[in-house]
Amino acid sequence: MAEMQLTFNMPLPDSTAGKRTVSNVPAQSLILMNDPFVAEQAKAWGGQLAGMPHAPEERIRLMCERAWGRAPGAGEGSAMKAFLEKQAAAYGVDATGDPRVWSDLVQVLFMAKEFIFIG
Amino acid sequence: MHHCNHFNDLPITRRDMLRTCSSGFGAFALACLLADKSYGAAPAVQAEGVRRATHHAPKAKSVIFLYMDGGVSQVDSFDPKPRLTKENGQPFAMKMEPTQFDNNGNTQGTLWDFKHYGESGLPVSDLFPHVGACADELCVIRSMVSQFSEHNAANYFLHTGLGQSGRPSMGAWTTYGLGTSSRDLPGYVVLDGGLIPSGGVDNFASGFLPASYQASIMQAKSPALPNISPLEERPELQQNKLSLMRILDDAALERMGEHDALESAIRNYELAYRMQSAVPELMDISGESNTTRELYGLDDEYGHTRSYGMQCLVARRLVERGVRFIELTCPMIDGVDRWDAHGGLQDNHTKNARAVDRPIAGLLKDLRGRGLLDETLVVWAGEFGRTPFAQGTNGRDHNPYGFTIWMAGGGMKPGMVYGATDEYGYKVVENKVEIHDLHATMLHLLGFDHTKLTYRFSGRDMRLTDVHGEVLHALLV
Repeated sequence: MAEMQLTFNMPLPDSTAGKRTVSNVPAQSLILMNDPFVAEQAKAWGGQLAGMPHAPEERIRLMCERAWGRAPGAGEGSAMKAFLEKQAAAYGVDATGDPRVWSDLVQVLFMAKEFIFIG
Repeated sequence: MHHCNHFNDLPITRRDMLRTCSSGFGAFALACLLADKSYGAAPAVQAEGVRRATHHAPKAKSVIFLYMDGGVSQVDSFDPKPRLTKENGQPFAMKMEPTQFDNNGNTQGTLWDFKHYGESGLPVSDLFPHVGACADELCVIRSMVSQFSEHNAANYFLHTGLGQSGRPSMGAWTTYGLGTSSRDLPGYVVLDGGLIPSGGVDNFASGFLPASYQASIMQAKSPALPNISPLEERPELQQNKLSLMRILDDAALERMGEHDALESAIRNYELAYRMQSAVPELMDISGESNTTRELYGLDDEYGHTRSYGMQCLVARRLVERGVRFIELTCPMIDGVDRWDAHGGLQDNHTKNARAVDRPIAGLLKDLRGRGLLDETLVVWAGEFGRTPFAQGTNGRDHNPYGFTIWMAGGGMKPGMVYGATDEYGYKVVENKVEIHDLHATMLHLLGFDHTKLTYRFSGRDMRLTDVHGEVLHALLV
C-alpha cells in the first residue's frame, strides 16, 4: 500500500476494520509538504492556472471554490496575492504566468487545514 | 458562484464579513509575516497546551519501553523452576486454566541453563547473557498478572490500561503530563523494528486526550520518516508557503472555533518543519565512537541484532534530545512469530533473544556511563507470559496468571527480585502486580500521582489507571 494511504489511516486490506483509526501526526504534515505525489498534483493544477487569461484575483477565487468549496475571505485573498508576488520574487520571475508560483499556491491550499477539515 | 454552505455549519454572515475585513485580519497576517524571520519561530498555537506541574519531584525524566511482542516465557528467561525440569514430560500436576489453542501437553522444563549474575546473584537464562551481566541494575518483577490472555486485548491493556481500544496510551498520558522538552521532535516516539503490536497503532493512540499526544512512529534508519526532506530548492521557498498556510489556518481557527484536531494539525506542521532538520540530525550517528557502536551490537553478525541495536542507540539519542516516552517494537524475524512461541519454542526464543539481548545491555551500560540511567526509566515487558506446560510437543501457550517484567533506572531499586510464582512458574503466589500497578509506578516516578493526573471525559475524571493501581513503593529507591 502506498505510504500516503497508510499514514492517512487507510485500513489494511487483509483484515476488517470495525472503525477506522484517526491519527493526527507530523508524518501527515510531512506528506503534504514533501511527498512527490502531492507535488505532482500541485504542478498539474498550477500549470493550468498559470496559463489562464484571468486576473490573479479571479484565479484565486476559482482555486478556493474548487479546493474549499467557497470563495476566499477578503483577508485570505489578499494574503494569497501577496504570496504570489513574494514567491515570484524569490524565483526571480513574473507572478502572473509562472507555473511554479501557481503550483506553490496550490500546494498551500492542499496544506491548509480547511482542505481536510470540515468546520 | 453561489456559496452552497455545505461545508460550513453557519454561512458567513454579513457581520462576520465586516469583522474579518475591518478588524485587521490583514494586519494580523502582516504581523505574523514580520515576526516570522524563519517559519516556526513562534508557534501559532501553544505547543504544550496547559503545562501541568508535576505533583512531586520526579525521579525519571524519560521512559524507554522495551516492548516484547507476543509474550516471553518467564520460566525460560527470568523465573527458573527446578521442579519444572524435574517433572519434565510428566502430566502437569496443577489444574490447567483454559488456553487459546486448547492443545495442552505435558510439563515442559526450561530448554536453557540459568546462571547467577552480579552481586545480586540474579538468575538469568542463557537467552540473555548480556542482560544478565547487567543484573545489578535490574529490578525484576516475577509476579505480573494480566486480565487478558489474548494479544489484542492484552496489548491494549498493557499500553492503555483497558482491554479495549480507544483509551490514551502510556506515552500519551506521559506527554500530556510532562509536555515535551524538545521543540524539534515529538514528545512520544515509537521506534518501529518491524512489528506493530497486535491491536495496531491504537496501542499508541491519544484516545480522548488531545491528538498531539499520540505517538509518532519512526524507524531507526534513514529515512526515519518518509518525506522528511523538503523538495524545494531553497528554504525560503518552503518558508513562504508555510507562512501563507499559517495565515489561512488562523482564519480557519477563527471560523471553525477552537477544535482539538484542528489545533493539533496546525501544531503538527510547525513540528514537521523543525523535524526536517531534527530527524536527520537524530539519525546521524557518525559522531558515535566505535566503542559505543560495539556496545549496541551495530557490528554484530546477526542482522536483527544490528537493527535492534540501532533502535536502542536512537532511543538513547532521543532521551538526550528531551523526548519523553520512547517505545521500541520488536524486529520481524523470518520464520518466527514475535515471541509468541505456540510451537518451536527453542527456535523462536533463541532468535528473538539474540536480536535484543546485546543491544539492551548496551543501552543500559551506555545510559549508566553517560549518567542518564538514574533519570531514565527503562521498562522491559510483554503483554503476558507463557504456560509452563507444553502446547503440543514443543511450544507454550499464553499465560496471564504469572509472568516476568523488569525495570531499571529512573528511581527503581536495582539488583532485586520482587514477587514470586508457584513452583511451576504458572501462577503468582506472592506480591501480585497488576498492569495498573505498573502504570501507577511509572507515573509516580515521572512525578505524578496517578489518581490526580486526570482528564475530564464522558462525565468523569479519567486516568491511565482508571480506578485501580497501587504504586510499588517497595521497589523504589
